Amino acid sequence: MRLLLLGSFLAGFLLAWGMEAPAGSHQGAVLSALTVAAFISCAHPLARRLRERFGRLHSGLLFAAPLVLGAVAGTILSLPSAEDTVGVPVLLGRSFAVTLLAVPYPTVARWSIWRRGHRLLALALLLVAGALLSPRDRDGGNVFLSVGNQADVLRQVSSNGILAVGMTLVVLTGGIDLAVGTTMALGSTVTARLLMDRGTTSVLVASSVALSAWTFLLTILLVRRLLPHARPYVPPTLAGLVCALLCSSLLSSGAGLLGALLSAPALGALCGLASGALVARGSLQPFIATLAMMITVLGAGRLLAGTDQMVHPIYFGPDQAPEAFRLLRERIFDLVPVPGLVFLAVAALAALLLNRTSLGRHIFAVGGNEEAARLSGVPVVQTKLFVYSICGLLAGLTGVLYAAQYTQGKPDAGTGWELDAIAAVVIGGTSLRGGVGSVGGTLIGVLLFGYLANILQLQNVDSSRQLVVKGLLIVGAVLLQEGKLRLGFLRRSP
Amino acid sequence: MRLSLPHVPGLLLPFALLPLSLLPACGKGSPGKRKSVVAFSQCTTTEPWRVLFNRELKREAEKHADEFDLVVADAEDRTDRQVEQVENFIRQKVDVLLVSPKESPGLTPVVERAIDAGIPVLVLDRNVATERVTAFIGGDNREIGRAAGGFAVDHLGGLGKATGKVIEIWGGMASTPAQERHLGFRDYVAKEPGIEILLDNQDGDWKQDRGYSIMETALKAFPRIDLVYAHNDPMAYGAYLAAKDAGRDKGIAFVGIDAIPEEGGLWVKKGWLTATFVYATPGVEAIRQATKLLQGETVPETTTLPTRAVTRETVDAFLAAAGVGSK
Repeated sequence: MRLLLLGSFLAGFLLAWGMEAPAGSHQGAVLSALTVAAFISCAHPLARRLRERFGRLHSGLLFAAPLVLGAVAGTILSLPSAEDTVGVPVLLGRSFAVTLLAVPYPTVARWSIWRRGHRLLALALLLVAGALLSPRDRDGGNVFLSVGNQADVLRQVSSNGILAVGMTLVVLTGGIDLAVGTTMALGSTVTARLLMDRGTTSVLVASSVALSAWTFLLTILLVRRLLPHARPYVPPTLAGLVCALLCSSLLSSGAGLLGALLSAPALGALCGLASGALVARGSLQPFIATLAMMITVLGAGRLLAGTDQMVHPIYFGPDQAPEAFRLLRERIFDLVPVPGLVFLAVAALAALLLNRTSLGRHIFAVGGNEEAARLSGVPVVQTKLFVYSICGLLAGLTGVLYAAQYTQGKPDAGTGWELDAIAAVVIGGTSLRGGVGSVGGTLIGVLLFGYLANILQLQNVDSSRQLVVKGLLIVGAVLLQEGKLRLGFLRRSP
Repeated sequence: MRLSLPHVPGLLLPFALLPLSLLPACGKGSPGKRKSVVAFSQCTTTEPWRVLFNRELKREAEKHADEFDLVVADAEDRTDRQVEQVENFIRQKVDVLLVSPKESPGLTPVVERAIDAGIPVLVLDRNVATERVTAFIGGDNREIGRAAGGFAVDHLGGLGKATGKVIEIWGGMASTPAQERHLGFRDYVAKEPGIEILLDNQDGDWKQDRGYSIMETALKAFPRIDLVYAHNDPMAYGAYLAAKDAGRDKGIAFVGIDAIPEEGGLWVKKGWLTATFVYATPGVEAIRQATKLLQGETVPETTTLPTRAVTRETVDAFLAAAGVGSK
């Protein structure tokens, strides 16, 4: 306990001192890193015991008190001369910040996500390196750590992130989906065309078909759930009616904003369903099935784009795209990017699906041992159809976000994106053999990739070297994961 | 008191970030002392013309090395990457931003953001769809087409009396530069009753091998061809090779566009092409204008780069100026 108090005090002190360090030097960052080391080495072993003994809030406060004292002392002692004084708001602000930091500590420390040790360590090291190496802007601020840059990174990783979440589901079943990049591009093309020239028949027909197909399927499922004892011809008839209504209204009056937003995911999901059917029913190798789908979708995208124009710009205004579409590229409070929020929401939903539902367990089971899963009654075919459809749907959604972000749609936009998504999944520790992995890991993989790109960019490393570094990152991550590269201190059991 | 090691990195994360992020807010650095930064986002560097563009830009920037640092980023032909780069430059609060966009609609919003952030933006070669950029610098393909047309008419006998059979090899059929290079050429050639255009709209897709195969077919179909006009040098060179393989290169003039020293320039020097027309890169002009902006001067809204002919008479001076020795 004494050690804890001392360590916390020291940490708070260093923290405050670090804040006062001149911005041009690395002193502040080094001090902050020391802070963390000091705090954790003293505090961590106690965190769990304290939480069990004092409960969530009190153990948190127990952590906060010496930290706050240390921060105040550090601030005062680091003043350059005796005449200078510190404003009360500064002290209060820092104390508050430190309290906020410390109170959740004992709780957060017990989350199982931290067990993914080495990946988080890599991310943390990368962040610290980014902070230390970061250039300064005109006013001397640290560019990498600026809130704006962090928001930029969140936006930049969002596309790859959404694709990677879908890819994680597929890879968990032991498959792979190479079609996500071109499906994304197809989605952007369809969205752009539906928003700009609503009369284009080929695009409208394609999206109507996709939307009606899913409406049909979902209506059948819904009716079966609502009217379990209805005669067998009832659900399809009802579904057909709904479908016909939707189809005729779409074809007669154009898609509208909602139709434009839904079409790309629906089309994507349809492509995913097709790959899934080839894999699950046709027992094709996932690599081959989705490679074929990737090429087909690229061609379909070019067809829908038309031959005289490959890039379809989106302009806002009357008779053009509605202003509401801009929301998808907005930054809330001029800061938080909407695509980033979509990414985080998608990741959270996927994590819930995997960890809290029977479907999630089925996905792991199919990837772990397909034969055993089949024998124990897991619906293998349906599970595979589901994951490929979701993967396609997310790719379509990414296409909508692409169209919004870059105000254009084009069928060649997603070239190589599937490889980025697979790389993020692999770095995140999901095994390409299936059955092992998590969305949390993928999240870390995506962030690792995004931050690395951001840091290299800020260092103005030329792009050829960036590619080499990224390749090395993938190799290193996989070696670490396969246990080939033993970092002794990480392997020591707790 | 044993520390469970796998937990450590995770715990590091939230704590490492927050105190660090407080740093910039209390920066006591000395603003204003930093050297100015001119940042340039190039859409791709795999095409020879883009490589030349970067080279000219860097060479010009070296002359001003004590005034500003030049930072060049390559977007690898991807719109999303280029937007990322421009966002990064905005965060770094660079003093002047140069952008040569991959596509107009994709880059327009982020260029507007840079302008909102108070950074002067010079758009190079391809424009973006906003009026708000500080300046645009680029070539005029129609003017270049006209220059080539004028040369063709002169070569075939002069205004009003030119006669001959001409083949035109297009760049990408749907691309704007190809359209403009075609229209400019027609501005001259269509007025000459003596000139006959053989083959309609042959798409060579800017590629040397396609130029070769188009010419190969044409040589079989037409016993007499006087001049080949291709929308870029590699296609003209491909056509030359086809004619040479057929043993008919002597009587035919080959005219290309772009005049990249290592390509068109060298081919003219060797006597393979008759003429090529400079599609100037905005590199040098961009740095000159950036320097002016840094000194607080204004720059013209639009700068159109002039073209000039590279023929057997002028090629030595052209290559010497570009620093390319004859091999």
